[in-house]
Amino acid sequence: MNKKLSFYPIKTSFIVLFVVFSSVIFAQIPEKPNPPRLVNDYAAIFTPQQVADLEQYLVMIDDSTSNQITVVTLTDLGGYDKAYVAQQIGQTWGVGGKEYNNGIVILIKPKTDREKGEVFIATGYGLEGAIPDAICNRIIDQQMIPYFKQNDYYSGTVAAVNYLYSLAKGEIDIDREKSNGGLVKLILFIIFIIVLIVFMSKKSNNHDDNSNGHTTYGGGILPWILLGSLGSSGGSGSSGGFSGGSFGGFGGGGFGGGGAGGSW
Amino acid sequence: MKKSLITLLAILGIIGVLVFYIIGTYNRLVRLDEAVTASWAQVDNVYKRRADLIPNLVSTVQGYAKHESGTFQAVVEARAKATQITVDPSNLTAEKLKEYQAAQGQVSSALGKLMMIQENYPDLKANQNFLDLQAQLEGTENRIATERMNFNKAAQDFNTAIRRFPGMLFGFDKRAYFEATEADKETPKVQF
Repeated sequence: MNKKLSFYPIKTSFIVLFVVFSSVIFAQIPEKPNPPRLVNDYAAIFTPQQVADLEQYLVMIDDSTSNQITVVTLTDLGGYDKAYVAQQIGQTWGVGGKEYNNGIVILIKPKTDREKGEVFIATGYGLEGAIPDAICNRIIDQQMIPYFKQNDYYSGTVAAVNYLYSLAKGEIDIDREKSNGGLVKLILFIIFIIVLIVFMSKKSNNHDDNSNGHTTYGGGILPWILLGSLGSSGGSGSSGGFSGGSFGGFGGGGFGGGGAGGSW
Repeated sequence: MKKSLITLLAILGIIGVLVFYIIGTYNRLVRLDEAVTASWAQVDNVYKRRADLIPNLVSTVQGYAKHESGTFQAVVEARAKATQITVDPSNLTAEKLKEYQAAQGQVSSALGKLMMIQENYPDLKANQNFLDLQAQLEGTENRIATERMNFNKAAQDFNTAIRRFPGMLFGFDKRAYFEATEADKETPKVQF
């Protein structure tokens, strides 16, 4: 009985340790949000309405230019440098497209009574040229921190997003809906034409031989199935996912440590 | 007759699978090796980027703080020394990496002292050109940290693969890592 009891403190201390460690890891690099979203207000510095508005704005930017800007707020950086945390969020979440690496992470740690406020803008590999570190620094100093000092986190963040949006658009500007829908349609159309030609030629051969009627029927149906799918895919392309106002997910973009930070 | 034919085919099949397995392993090691070389190129790139920033930075600070010639000289000399070291990525020995790292550590430490000067010159601290350069330098240091981490990860993947069976059969040499050196540790931390 006594023996059994003596193990208790060890066991509980392990559990406590585990809980502490897991919370430290969480504070360090937050988990990729599921379902995916672009505004991750873990520090609760925005009102629900502001979160919704900002999310809608960022989704619009993603849809119309394919540049992904995510806003992450944390109360604790787990003792890590803000540059490291922002870069790791970008890299592990895969913010931005894989092809263009066009993601941006805006990391905000609000000011508290005891600690300074910290902010970092991390740029993906593909946007380092369009948004140099010095410009990130100016955006932080001139657009964000003046608002943040008045506790107006929303205005400062929106001002920064406005700047980043126009700069990133100058470099990469791909309309997601148009490019995706158009390409799929084109490929299906080409396949349809090829299949049609192949079966037409077979059909005429069969007629000459006057042997097997079954293939004629098979050949007649397949192209029309394809044509049907072409029509339906065209329809779903325009109404699918993105334009409905929800975020389609992070694309696997890479981050190499670009960007700048500030504190107040 | 038929039985022996089946046995022969079975043996041939097993040999075939083994050969493909070995080829696959070898190709994987080559790919990992190339990844290390590629990530070294990235490391070298970001260090070059920092070296390119230095002349501009020094001349900007010089405009405000003429009397700090010792600090300027230390930066310029450390930079010259570091840019002299060229590393062949396919033959990156531990000694060579250490030498490279030590030279770059000197640059870091000299730059740290240079950036501390600003505390004594309020005009410099308010200069937009200086603020831009400072942001660029900070960003470059962050990139260096990231690329070094990526390089170490690539080297670790490769080193693990060559120590495991069957990778160990090919006798590849271990790749060197970046380590936190004394020079890195004594770099003065500057609160920007």
